[in-house]
Amino acid sequence: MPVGFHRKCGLGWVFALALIIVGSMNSGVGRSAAQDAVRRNKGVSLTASPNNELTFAIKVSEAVSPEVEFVFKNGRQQDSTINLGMMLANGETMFPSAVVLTDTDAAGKTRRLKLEPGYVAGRVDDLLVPLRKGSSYSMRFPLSEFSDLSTGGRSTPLSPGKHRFQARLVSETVRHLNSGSEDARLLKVWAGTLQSEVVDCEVPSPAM
Amino acid sequence: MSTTLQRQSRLFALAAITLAVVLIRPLASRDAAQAQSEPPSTTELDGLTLHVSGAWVGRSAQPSLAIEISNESDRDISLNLGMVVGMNHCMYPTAIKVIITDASGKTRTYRIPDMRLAGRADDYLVPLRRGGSYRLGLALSDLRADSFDFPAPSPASGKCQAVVELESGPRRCLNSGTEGMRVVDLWTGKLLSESTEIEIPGRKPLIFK
Repeated sequence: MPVGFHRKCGLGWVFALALIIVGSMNSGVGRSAAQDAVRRNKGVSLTASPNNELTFAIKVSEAVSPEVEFVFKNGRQQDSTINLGMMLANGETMFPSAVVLTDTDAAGKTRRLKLEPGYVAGRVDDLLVPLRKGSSYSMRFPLSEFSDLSTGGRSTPLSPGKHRFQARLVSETVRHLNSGSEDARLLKVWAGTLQSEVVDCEVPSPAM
Repeated sequence: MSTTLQRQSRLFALAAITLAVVLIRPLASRDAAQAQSEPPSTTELDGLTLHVSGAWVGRSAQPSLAIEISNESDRDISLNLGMVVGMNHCMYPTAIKVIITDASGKTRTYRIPDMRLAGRADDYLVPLRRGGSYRLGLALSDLRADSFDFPAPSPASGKCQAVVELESGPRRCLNSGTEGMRVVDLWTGKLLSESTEIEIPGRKPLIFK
């Protein structure tokens, strides 16, 4: 009796474990396939990854000179402010330099792209974006405006073919304190990292 | 005796009329000057556009307005949408007005109320890069009528037309330690959205049968 009972218990545990493993494998495959289908059907890729209910999504248009769009959304139940980078000349020019875009081409070569000024001579302020609960903020720019960090800041055109993009925002508290605005450091700014999901994009060959 | 009284009363009447004219005329001329100096609201100004649509948001699906401000110009622009309190803790887009016309044709203006607070307030500054947009939702339950009527009137239930007006102005909240922030250029002007139809649900009865 005790031997049969133990054998039955052991078999039960093995069966349950097998069920859990098969279930998790199936759900993972199904999810990625569904995401791929959505990407293929849309033409323009849109993904979002939740991180403490603040989300960051990127869109990349499929063109010879693609455009990138960053979309930040506050799904939290409280208002939040994020720091996207810097503003020059009293807010005349804005650079989301806190976002780094990673581009991987079909050959597996990876580039790190960033939108930042060539040189700075003058006042710099933080690019603080207040996000009321439920609100969203988007920025759009041509990919040619980004500088390639691996080539010392020079911009290189995208090679035709498949590309894989992912963006990462590192939001920090106020960094640029100017005379007369020292108390800006007291402002509450969300500090953390937001990462978008991977977006696939096919860059067509330029027409001859 | 009576003649003296009549003369005195005439003099008083004349003085009262003169005083009234002297006091009222500058007010009237100031109103006229304000009316002349205020730029008219437009749906597109300096490449900025304002759009509004009805939406249902939140867990309880309360009626809201989705407002989107887009910068289609070729330069970066910063807007002042109102004020933030508690060092960015709570944001109040008080520069946005919602003009609602109900089915009977009655028009009222609503807005997020100014907070009566004791503490620090800062401006609600939104930097809009060229090609960028800012989208925020306003729950109708958060809006208050822009009038002194008591109790504050709420929009009548049924189908209504809503128009949103944004008046971005210069900095209003300058605190000690952030005086230098006034040098940041802000766009000043008025933007008006196109009209959109929204449906305001009727109030729930207090007693359910």
